[in-house]
Amino acid sequence: MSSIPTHSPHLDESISAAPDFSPGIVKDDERLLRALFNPEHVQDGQVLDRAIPVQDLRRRGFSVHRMAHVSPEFVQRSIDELLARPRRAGPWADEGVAVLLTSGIRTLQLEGARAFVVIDTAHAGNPGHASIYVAKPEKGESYTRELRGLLLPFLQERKSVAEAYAINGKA
Amino acid sequence: MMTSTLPAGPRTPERARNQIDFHWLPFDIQGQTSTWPSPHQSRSVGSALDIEATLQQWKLLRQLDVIQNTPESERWPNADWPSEQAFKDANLFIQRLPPTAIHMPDLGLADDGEVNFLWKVSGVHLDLGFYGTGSFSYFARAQDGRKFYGDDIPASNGLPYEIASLIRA
Repeated sequence: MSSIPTHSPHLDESISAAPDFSPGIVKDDERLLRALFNPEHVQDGQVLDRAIPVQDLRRRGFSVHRMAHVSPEFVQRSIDELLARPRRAGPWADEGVAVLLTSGIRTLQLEGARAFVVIDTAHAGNPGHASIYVAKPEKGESYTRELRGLLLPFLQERKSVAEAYAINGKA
Repeated sequence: MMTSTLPAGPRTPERARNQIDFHWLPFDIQGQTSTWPSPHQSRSVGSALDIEATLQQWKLLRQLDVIQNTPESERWPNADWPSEQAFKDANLFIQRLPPTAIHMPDLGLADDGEVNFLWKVSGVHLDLGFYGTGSFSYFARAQDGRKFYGDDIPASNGLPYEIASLIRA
């Protein structure tokens, strides 16, 4: 059997993981951001399955920014810091940010069962941090591999940080 | 021993994807105990396709070796690096792939310490990975919509026949 722990902090969307820092639980109409990079997550313009790590979905949390609670400057700075690292093989490339609507993630189903939960996982460094988990981590890695395939289309359309926030402001 | 005429340079994943260095042949195919026939056993005289498929397998092993030896300063900063056992399991798995029978996968690392193999071939999707537990898991969807799941499969078992048949070259 795998020795990898399978339990996330909790899967109750009505509870904040860190109430001291949190702006509140994640609402259905909130938009979430995920930054993607080449070649780690994107190759030939397509986001790869491994851009959504299995153990993130099962226990660590697939990290996203809550757009209503994180400034575009903060998101851009975090991207720039990653890209600034020197690399002999050539620089990593910014592949933009994917914008995910919380309700779109929460309504995804697989064989009649809810697929994902979106949890407020604020922390001192980023009060607008949230995490996506599979709703049934006990079902194993292969099941989570199938589920990440459901999430993948949400990451294929990407924008610049500025474009994402411009659209969010109009929505 | 075969030798390469490739220019010297740093070992990077990009180089591994595009080049084959014959100095590096880390295993003895004939010495393996895989249930799959070795290239030497499969046909008495290897066809050009056999040779190409075997080279692809060597190339995959080479790519894994290069990735494993990526200097810490060159690694994706926000990721857990796979354990030595994960690389070892993946290496064994590649050696057990039937090199003359199937398409070779795309190989890469996920941020959670997974060594991941991804096949997208003729409408088939196969997502398979290692975390250093001595085993692997996979999910496959066939062109006709059939689904296949596998958890805690020992790395030494190699790719199950029913899955290999989905990605036959």
